[in-house]
Amino acid sequence: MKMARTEIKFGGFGGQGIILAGFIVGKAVSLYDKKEAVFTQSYGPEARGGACAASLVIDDKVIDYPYPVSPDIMVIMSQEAYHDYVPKLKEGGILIIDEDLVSLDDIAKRAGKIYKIPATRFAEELGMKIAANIVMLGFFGYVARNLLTTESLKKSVLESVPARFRDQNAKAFDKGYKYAQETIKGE
Amino acid sequence: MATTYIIKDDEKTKKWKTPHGELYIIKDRCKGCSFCIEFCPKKVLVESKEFNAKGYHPPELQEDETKKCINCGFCAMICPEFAIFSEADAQSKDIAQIPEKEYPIPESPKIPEIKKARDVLTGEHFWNGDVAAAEGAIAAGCKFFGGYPITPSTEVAEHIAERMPQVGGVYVQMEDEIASIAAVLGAAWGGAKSMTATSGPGFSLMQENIGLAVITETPCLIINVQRGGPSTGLPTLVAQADVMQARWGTHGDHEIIALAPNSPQECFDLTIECFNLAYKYRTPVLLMMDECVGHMTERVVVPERSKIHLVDRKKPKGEPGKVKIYEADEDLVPPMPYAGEGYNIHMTGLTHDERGYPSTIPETQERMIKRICDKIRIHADEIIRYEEFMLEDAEIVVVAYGITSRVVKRAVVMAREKGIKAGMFRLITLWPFPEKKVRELAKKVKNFLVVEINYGQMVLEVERCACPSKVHFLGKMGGSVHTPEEVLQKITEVTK
Repeated sequence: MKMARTEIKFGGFGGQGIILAGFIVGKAVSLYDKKEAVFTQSYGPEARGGACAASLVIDDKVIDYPYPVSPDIMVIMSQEAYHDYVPKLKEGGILIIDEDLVSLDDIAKRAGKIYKIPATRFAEELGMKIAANIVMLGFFGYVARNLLTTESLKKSVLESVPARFRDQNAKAFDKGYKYAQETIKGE
Repeated sequence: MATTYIIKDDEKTKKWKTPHGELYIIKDRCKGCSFCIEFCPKKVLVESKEFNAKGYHPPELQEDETKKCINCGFCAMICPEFAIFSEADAQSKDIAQIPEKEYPIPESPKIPEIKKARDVLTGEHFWNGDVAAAEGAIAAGCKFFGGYPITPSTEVAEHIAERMPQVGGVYVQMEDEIASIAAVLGAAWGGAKSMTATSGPGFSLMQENIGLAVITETPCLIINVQRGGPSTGLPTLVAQADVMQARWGTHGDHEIIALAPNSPQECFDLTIECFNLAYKYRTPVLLMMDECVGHMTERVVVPERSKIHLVDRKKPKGEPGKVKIYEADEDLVPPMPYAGEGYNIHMTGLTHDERGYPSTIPETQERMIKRICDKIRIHADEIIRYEEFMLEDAEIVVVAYGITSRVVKRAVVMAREKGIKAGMFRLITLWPFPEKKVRELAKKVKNFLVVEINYGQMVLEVERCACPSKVHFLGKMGGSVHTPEEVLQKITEVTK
């Protein structure tokens, strides 16, 4: 897999695991796919509530400027984050949302492709609401399968959560991934 | 309840009629803690099925249980978000009887046993700059951390608090930064490689005892993860405005060594380097990180233990009783005895002679100051590190350090694409300042541009050394980094 500089932004509400999600993808790309990745995050009160973001820049080459300029992919899990961040999405970029928590309007027209998943609802159905971010990562893993390998991403998930929650998180990840396989067709 | 609330009547606030008044829930405020549900003595509340704006399920009144709400107001009292409250009818005086219940006292948690772990975590890691610096310190053999956590350096303390006991070291959370640095100096004389980490106001508080470290020639590491100032300033946001304070923060003539990393990998590597410099020259060393580098996560490669070069103190050669603790060798650095090894150690912040005894004789002061400054000055070439990027044929040299250097690197590449011969000179060692190299560059290049997140600090040093070249400045007061476009625009403007 060859790639040019790609920018990914995760946005949501503090406490949803947005920062962990970004960290997990960064770790997968950097340590397991052996590419370059820089992960930066919201810091301060917004990380505990309010619109919270995690950004990732990945590349084949060493990354100089570590911040996203116009993200190629956005994963959005709250309405506030949608209004704050989506206007900066690259024209024609990919937008992934939690459909229960985000309703789309004109801003979303800049997106080339929009993917929807009820990640929080699925996580609740699995009996662990806090794994909504991991369900989302499974979904993201399928959408972004040209950028990073699914094995690396799943390994990174399992390495980044406490050992006693590994099985549950693996289930959450698979749930999101399978949903993507079933719903995203013809690509 | 006598409280009056201003209630907006919209879909986001739900209202129920209860036997003694009304119950209100402001749905979007709820963060799903379930306290109201748990603490309701009548158990009339349940989690609803709908999502609020934050993605939580706000509570609702159970339809068939409506009659049971006694308007006790517990839910309003316990709600941390002020999302739920009840109002009593004016006529209703029927205050509830709370059922008595015994609550068991929970058992106190057991303190977990501390497992020993490796000090050098050889391999690849995905760490932020703060964690990488903490691991660098442990890999360098640091065994004492005295500190007072402060944003954005908190992760250094947090990580080292977990790791120190695993490697047989000590983490002490002191009462403030003055005590922290004092404890660090004490630990160094007790024989432990020691350090602290701080930011902004904490760095100011440490200044006096940094001077004590200079005059007592105590090796130690102080990490400053720079944030916006003065005073409390911008606690969570970046600045590079402490670089002059690093040089001149403590009073009196002195020289200091300060390094500035620009990636988590360098945070790891330079922390080890800082300890080596501290022990080689018997001096405090500063690692001047910034918030962006501290909170940026990247791959960090930790080498095998055998590949890490460590410098230890120079031990005194003579017998106890015959060694003067400030008698220097030819390199102007005195060997260092530790307390408890039998040597006669006299520690004072007063001007002292070679034995360490106070003296008010001007000649002693002259001898002491010259030696503690010269031991750094004569070794400047060995200490100084810098990075040159596309400088061979450069017509403009952009000077940067820390996070700013990564922005500048991008801008230089963009400038080259436009046909402007730009290059970057990155300071890795801030102090001592690489004056020789800047003078050399100034012979070839007409324009210098200094980019830093402050209102003009290192630019003064460049101006001092870059004569007769023109020195331009692009500052930012803090809170964010420059964009590559801003730097490119300035480069274009200057080279016109």
